[in-house]
Amino acid sequence: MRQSLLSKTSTKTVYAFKMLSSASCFACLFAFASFASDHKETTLPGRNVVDYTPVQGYLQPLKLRRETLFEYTCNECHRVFDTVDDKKTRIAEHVDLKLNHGKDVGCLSCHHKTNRNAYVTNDGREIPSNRPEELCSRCHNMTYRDWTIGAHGRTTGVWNRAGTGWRALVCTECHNPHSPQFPYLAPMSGPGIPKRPFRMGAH
Amino acid sequence: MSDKNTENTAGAGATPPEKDVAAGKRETFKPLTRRSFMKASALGALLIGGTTTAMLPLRKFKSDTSLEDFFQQHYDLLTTERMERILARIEKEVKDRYGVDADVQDPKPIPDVQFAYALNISRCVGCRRCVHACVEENNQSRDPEIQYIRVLEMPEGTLDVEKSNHYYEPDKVPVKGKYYLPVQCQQCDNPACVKACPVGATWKDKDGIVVIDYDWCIGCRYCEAACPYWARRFNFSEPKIPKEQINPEMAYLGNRIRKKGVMEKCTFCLGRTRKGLMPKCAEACPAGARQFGNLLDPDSVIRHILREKRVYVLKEDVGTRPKFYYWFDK
Repeated sequence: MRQSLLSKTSTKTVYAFKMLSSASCFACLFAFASFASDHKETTLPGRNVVDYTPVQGYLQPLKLRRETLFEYTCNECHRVFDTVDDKKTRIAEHVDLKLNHGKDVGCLSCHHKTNRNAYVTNDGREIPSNRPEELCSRCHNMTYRDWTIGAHGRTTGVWNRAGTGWRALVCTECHNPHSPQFPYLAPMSGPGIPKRPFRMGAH
Repeated sequence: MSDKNTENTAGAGATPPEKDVAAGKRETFKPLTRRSFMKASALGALLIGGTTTAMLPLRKFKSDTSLEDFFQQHYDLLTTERMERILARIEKEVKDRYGVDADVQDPKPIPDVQFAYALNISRCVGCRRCVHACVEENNQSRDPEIQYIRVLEMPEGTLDVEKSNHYYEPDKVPVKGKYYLPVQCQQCDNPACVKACPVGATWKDKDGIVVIDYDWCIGCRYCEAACPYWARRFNFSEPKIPKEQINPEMAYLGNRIRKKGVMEKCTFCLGRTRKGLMPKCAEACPAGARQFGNLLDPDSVIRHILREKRVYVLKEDVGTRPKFYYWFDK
């Protein structure tokens, strides 16, 4: 009897705390009302979708690209927010993302459903976020083969690919994964145009 | 009689000679007057000034080339210690002229290496980043501007370089309907420029790089005319480089600062590549279109591209056998 009462109060406090925390968290959000109406259940929206196990393979501190400017890992938000596998529905975050990458590609085509710090393979396993080439090689396998030998993309260091000291830049260092087409650049200055008439291309 | 008389008179003249001589001496030794002093000093000043003016070109010549430089032997005949003296002399010249502490070296070819270049023209966007990375690395003259790499803007559907334009200046590249073909020294296996040189100032080194000895070049520009790729450049005037933009790591056959009146060209950045590094243009390319490697190594990236990709060389029909391969994968 006493036991049950205690458990009842504890569940009540937990419930209240959950409500409070969720409210304080959502209060700052623009779309609080829509979220509250969607998630009336006692569980937090993120509770079911967060995977607290470390990413398979080794995980280094995230090196996110300059354009995204995130200084925190994905799971810190997504422990609370559920993921909608719909590229059109975005509430406050990721509204600046323009997904222009192939046909019928959504968020969860590449990002893992439960562990947001990881990418996903074809059969649902996790890829650490510091190895994006494994993710990209799911579709771009021919490019990946060229990349492994250094024939695709930028390389730095020494020219001898057999030894150490050379490094091929990974996919996301050059391509924006959400819009991977190479950006248009302003050309630098060319040779000065000679003053007298000159037969172009004659050499 | 008269003879006698004259003799007598002469004798008579001879008898009182001391008096006359003394008088003559007194007349020739004029005291220093203001007029004579001014005359003499004006003449002296004219002489000194004239000589100095006449010798001025000689002084300039002396500062331009040292005795060592004048009597320098051909590169093949240089001993190691003589080469060291030459390198020290070049360092001193750079210090005197530009005020930069340069490190001039003479890296030798690595055995069992043939350098080759592969350029993916379906990736090149024509942004000319390579051109300017090359200018900075190789201490090319900024005024008049010398660029080793020329990026040709080509209409799609042709490989005819006659239809190209290398003065393109659009706001953004790549332009639709165009593709870009960067041309630099092709480091030919059968180089026409080497055959054209009358003095042996340019030759193909053991690692396949065609080099120029700038101290041996006489500036006749025959090689420039012989090259089918227009890869060679001539220093019409003394190169002007801002002091802070000078690359202090120089190579004797590579990127040391050239003189007026000598040829220069791309050397695959031999100061870098003979130490194992990549050429500067390959590192600078933002599109990753440029690959560099060893042609003799079967596992190298160059051999991978030659095996797997569609490769062509520029102006194959002229028989120069370039080691600069263009390929495409789209």
